Amino acid sequence: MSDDLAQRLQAYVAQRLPDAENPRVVALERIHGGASRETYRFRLSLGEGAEQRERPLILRRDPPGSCIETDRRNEFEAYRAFADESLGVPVPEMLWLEEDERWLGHPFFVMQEITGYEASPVAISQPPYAEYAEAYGREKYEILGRIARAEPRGIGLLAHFAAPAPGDCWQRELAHWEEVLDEDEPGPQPIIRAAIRWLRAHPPPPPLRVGVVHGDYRTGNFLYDRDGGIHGILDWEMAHLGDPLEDLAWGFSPLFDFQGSGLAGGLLEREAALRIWQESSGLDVDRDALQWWEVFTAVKGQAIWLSSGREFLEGKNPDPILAIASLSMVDKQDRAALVALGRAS
Amino acid sequence: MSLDAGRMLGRLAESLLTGRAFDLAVPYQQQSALGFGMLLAQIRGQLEGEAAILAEENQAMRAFLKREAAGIGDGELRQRVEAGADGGLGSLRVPDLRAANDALRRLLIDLHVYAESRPAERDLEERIWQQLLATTERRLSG
Repeated sequence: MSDDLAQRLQAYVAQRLPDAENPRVVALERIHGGASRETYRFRLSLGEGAEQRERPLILRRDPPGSCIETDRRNEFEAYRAFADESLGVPVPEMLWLEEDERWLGHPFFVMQEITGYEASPVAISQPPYAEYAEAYGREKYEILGRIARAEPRGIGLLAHFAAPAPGDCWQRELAHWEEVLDEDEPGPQPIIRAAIRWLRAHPPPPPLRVGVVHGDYRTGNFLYDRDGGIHGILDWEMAHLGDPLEDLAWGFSPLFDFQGSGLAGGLLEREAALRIWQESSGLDVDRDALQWWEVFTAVKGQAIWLSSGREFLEGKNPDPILAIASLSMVDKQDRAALVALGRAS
Repeated sequence: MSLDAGRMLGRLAESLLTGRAFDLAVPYQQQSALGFGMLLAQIRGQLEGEAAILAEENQAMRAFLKREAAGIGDGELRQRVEAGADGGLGSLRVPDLRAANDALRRLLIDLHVYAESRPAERDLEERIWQQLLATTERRLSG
């Protein structure tokens, strides 16, 4: 299967690079990473003999079903928007987006592979990385602040992303994830439904700025070195324009503190994270609005866990991580919702 | 009774996690097999406790609804809550317990909406939250 895919990908690369000498797809292999799309690693070899050079690349191809129904173009454009290094948001370079299914059977895109770094949300809390947890945390929230500071028009995202009016940010996101729950919940969800009613009854103030929201900014979605440095922000598949507090709240979810440390994302005291983010973004955090987005995080999280389980059950995506996440997260997410609502400690 | 199906599932998980997954040469397939091993182990743990958790939860919810039914001012809702609280333990098959659980949780949502819409029912709302917290803690510790 991989041989056939490699040949088809090679044919695609050849037409993309008509002047390239002997382009070849080498060592194509499927890897785990981002359950919503099939991910492959390969090397693009160009030239011959002493002139031969290789570049590590990643292919992300749409599967028949996915964890999150997202627009691949959004993901591609979000990555591309932050390619300018002066923005201070490290991302892999995006090469090609292809929506014509004749090439690989499904739409796909190709991007640079940033090699030599770790991404695991578990390894980061273990040697040799653990001693740099605070440094990772500081950089994580500095980068998030830079994402919030980025001007969507200036980085070309207004051509691809709908910009909600400031007062509509919360309604648009809540309506979207409520719809996912309506479609995918396997049974009644009394806690999450109560959370949704609470969210509608206590709308947050409009954001100070409608900015870029990564959509899944958490420990596990960035590449880190052994010295406290971050070298790539990944998994932009839920990126959109909205209230920057949405990302801040998402990363504060206790479900992404994988070791139960009580720290934001298992890395940093929450207040320190807020302080760093405020300095970096130039935005003040309204505590009531942050609470609103933390309750929203529980709703969105539950929608994702439940729809992941459903996609596995329906055979749309056979990746066991979908079923594992669904089975292990739903009750924890309910509890996190109760905490965010002030109904548990 | 045949051999313990839960133990068989556990043995299957162990076989994948400690041996067979590592026989696979392709790293992606190896990781997938390990993922399925973890999933089987997780399912085994859940299956063993599921009936007990659901039976206990259904019993607690019926008791709660029974206690609250008399105070419900909305006649139609009171009748539904009384009827829902009236069931006994019933079948212990997991699909039946789940169906009963869904019906009870649906009733709890209706009762919660009712309480939220009436300032005089703040105490009831508080008790519903406590009920939801107790249910969640029971599931997490089960």
